[in-house]
Amino acid sequence: MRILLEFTKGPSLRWISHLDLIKVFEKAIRRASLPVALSQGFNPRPKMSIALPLPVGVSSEGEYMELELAEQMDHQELCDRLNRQLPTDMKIQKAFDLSDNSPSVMSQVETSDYLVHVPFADEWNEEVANAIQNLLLKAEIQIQYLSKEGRVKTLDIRPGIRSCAWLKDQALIFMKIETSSRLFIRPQFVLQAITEILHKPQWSIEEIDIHRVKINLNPKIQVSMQA
Amino acid sequence: MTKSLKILDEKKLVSVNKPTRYTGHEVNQIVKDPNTVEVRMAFAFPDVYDIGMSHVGSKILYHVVNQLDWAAMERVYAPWPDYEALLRREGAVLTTLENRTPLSEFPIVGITLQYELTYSNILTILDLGNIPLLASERTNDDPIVFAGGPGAFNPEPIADFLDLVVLGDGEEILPKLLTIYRTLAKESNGRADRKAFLESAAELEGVYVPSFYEASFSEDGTFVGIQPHNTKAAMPVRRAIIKDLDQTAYPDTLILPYGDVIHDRAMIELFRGCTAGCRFCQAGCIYRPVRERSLSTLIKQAEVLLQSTGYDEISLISLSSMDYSQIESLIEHLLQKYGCQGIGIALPSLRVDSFSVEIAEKVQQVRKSGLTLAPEAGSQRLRDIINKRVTEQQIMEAVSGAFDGGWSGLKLYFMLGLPGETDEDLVEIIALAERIARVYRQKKRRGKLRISVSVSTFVPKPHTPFQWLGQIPPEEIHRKQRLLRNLVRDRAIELSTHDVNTSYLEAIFSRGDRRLSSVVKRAYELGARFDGWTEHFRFSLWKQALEECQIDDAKYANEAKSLASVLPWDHLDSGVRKEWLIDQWNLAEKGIETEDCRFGPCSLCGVCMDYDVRNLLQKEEQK
Repeated sequence: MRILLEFTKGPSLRWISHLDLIKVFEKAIRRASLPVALSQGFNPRPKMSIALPLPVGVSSEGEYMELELAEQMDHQELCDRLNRQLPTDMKIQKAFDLSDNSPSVMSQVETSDYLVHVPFADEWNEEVANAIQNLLLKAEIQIQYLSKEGRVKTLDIRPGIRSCAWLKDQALIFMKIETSSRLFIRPQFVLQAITEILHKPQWSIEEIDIHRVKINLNPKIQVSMQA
Repeated sequence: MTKSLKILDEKKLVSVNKPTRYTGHEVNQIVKDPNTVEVRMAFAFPDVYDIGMSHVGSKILYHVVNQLDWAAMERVYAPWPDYEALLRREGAVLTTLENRTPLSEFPIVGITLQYELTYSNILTILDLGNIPLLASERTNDDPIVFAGGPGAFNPEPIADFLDLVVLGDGEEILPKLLTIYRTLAKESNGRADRKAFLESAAELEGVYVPSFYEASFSEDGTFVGIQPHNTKAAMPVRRAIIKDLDQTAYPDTLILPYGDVIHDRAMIELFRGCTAGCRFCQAGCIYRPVRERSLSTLIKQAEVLLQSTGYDEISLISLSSMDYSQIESLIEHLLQKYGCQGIGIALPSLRVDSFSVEIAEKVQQVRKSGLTLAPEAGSQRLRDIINKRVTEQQIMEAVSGAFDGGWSGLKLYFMLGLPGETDEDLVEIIALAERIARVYRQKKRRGKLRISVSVSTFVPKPHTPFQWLGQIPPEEIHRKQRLLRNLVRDRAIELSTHDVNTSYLEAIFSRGDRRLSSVVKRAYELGARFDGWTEHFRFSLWKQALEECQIDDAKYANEAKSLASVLPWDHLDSGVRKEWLIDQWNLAEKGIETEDCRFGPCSLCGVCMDYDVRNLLQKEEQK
C-alpha cells in the first residue's frame, strides 16, 4: 500500500543533495526495519520517490515523499520508527494513505511556497514593497537564465507567479510559484525580476536564504489522501 | 587563543563543490559538548572527505576515543582547493565537522599518514587550522600534533611538522596518551605543558618524538645517523603491538557519509598483519604478526554494524582476506543470514587462485562486482624474486574459474621496475594477459572480453627487503611503459600505467630523511596540493622546491644504498629484524621463495621473539 509522508529538512541539512537524501531514507528505512516493498532487479531498493527535489542550499518544512509498504502499518508507529533513524533536523510530520489508483505524487506537484531572506532588504523596505507590487501588475516578465547545459534561455515567469508579498516585519519575501512539470519557476527567477525593477545589482546567491514552506499538490490527490 | 578566529558563514558554501564534505551532521556522528569533556582531539585525514570517510583506521580511533566519557574526537579532512580558496578569501579558519571548532583550539591534533602524496595537504590543514607549521615554532597554546598510520614508519621527511609519532597499532596507545595529557592538564589547570607531556609520552612503547633526536649528515649531504638527545627518548623506538585483536574495541556503528564516498559500506576487519612475505610490500612487514579476530566476534560485529547503519553491503577487510582461517564459514554465515535481504559482501583483496575465485563467485550471486587479481609480475622468475608465490598454473585456474563463473571482464595488477626485471619480464606481462584472453575465447562465451592490465611503478619502501634499492630512473620508466604499450596487440587488453612524476615523487619521499621537510614546506608555499590527484598534481612546483632547497632528488629516488649503510628510519623498529630483511634480499637475488610462516616454518623475521607475540589464527574455533 502507498503512503504519503510529509517531512522537514532543516537548515543544518540544507547542503544534502537530492541523491544523498534518498540514500539517507533508504538506510533509515532499513535500520527502522519498516516493511517496505522492494523494487525488482538485481539490487533491490525500497520503493520510494520524493515529490520535488529540493535544491542544495534550500531548507524546507513541507516536503513530500511516497513510500510503498508491503504490509499495513500504523501511521504513528511508522513516523516514530523512521524519525528515530533520521538525522536531527529532519522529521516526518505526517503520514497519509494514498489510494492505489492515485497518480504518482511527483506528477501532482503544482506550486510551492517559499520564504526568502535577502540582504539589504531592511534598508530598501519601501522600495522592495513597491517593486513587488509593480511585478504583480505586469502582464509578462521575461527573464534570462543559464540552463544546465550553459545556454542562455528566456522565459516568461509571470504566469507562474501565483502570489508574492513583502513581509515587512520579518524582512522576508514570500512567494507562491509554479513548480510543476509544465512550468518550473525557481525562486531566484523572481528575485532576479525584483532586482531588475529595483535597478539594483542582483543579490548574490551567497547572500540569500531560501526556505521552502510547503509544496502544494493537486487537490484531487489531497482527496485521496483523506480516504 | 587570544586571537579571535573567523568561522566561515555557512551560506558561502553555496559556491563550493559538494558542500557536505564540510558540514558534518551525518547520521551516527558523535557530537559531544566541549564543556563536558576534559580532552578534545581533532583527527585530520590529509585527503578529501570522500577518501577519508572510507578509511577504517580512522573509524576505529574515532570509536575508541569517543568511548571515553572524558575525551572527544572530532574530524577534519583536507579542504578541496575550492574550499581552501573560499576559506582564504573570507579569512576563515579550518574547523572540525562535529562542533565547527577551529583546529588551533584543540589541545591535540592527530594526523594519519597513509601515503606520501598527502604531505602537502598536511600543511594545508595545519596552516588553515591556525597552527604553526613547524613543531619548533609551536608554543604551549598551540596544539600538540600527533601522527600515526603506516607512514609513521618513516616520518622523517615531515618530522619538522610533527610533535609526536605513534608507531604501530593505535587503539590501545592513543587512550594512554590522552590519559597522560589529561593528568598533566589537570595539574596545570589548562593546557598540559608541552615538554612535560612529550617526555612523559616518549616513555610509552610506540612513541617517537622527532624533536628528541638529531639527524646528522656528511658534507656531501649523505645521511649518517640519528641520535637521541633526551633521556626519555628510546633508541630504537619500538612499535606498539596489540597481541590479541579479538579483545580490542571495534566500532559498533559507522558515520554515514554524504556524497560519493569511495567505499560507502559497512566493514569488518578480519585480521591485522600478513605473513605472505611479498618482498616489495611494506604492510606485509610493519603489521606482523597475523592477528585474527574470532568468527563469533566478526559475526557479531557484522550484525551490529548492519543494524546500526542500514548499509546493504559489508566489506571483509584485511591485507589478504582469503587467508582468514575461517573465511568459508564466515562467508557461508553472512550469505545465509543477509543474502535474502539483498545485503552484499565485498572482498577487496583476492588471492590469485581458484579457491578465491570460487568464493568471489558465491558472493557475487547477491551483488555483482568486478574481479581483480594481482599477479604483480608477468614471469615466474620475477614472481619468485618478489616472493609472490603464485604459479602460472594457479593464475590460469583462477581466470578459468572466473570465466566459468560468469565474469567476462578482469582487472590485473602488475608492477614495473621491480628488482632484477628485464624487458623480457615486461613482455611476459602482456603475454600472460594474452594467454588469459585465449582461455576465455576457448570457452566460446558470448560476452565481450575485457582484460584491464594496470601496471604501476615500483616504489621501494622502508622496512622491506627492497628498502636499499633505488627506483629506476624516470627515463627508464618511460621507456618501459612505451615498451609495454607497443606490445599490446589484442584489442581485449586495455593497458594503463601510472604517472611517472607521481611515482618519482613517491620514491623521493618514501626513503627520504629530515632534510626533505624544507622541500615539503617550500612546495606547499608554492601551491602544491592534492599531489595524488592528477588534476591537481603539479610536478614543476616540487621540482622548483627541490632545487631551491638544494636537494639532489635523483639521489633520493634512484640511488641504491649499501646493506651496511645507516638508513634514515633505522631508529624506528617495525618489528622485523634488519638481518631478516637482508636475508630476504639475498634470497630475492637468488630467486628463492620463503614460505608463509602461518603455514610453513618460521623464517625468523624476529617480531614474535622481540615483542612476545605470535600469529593468532582461529582454526580451532568451533562454528
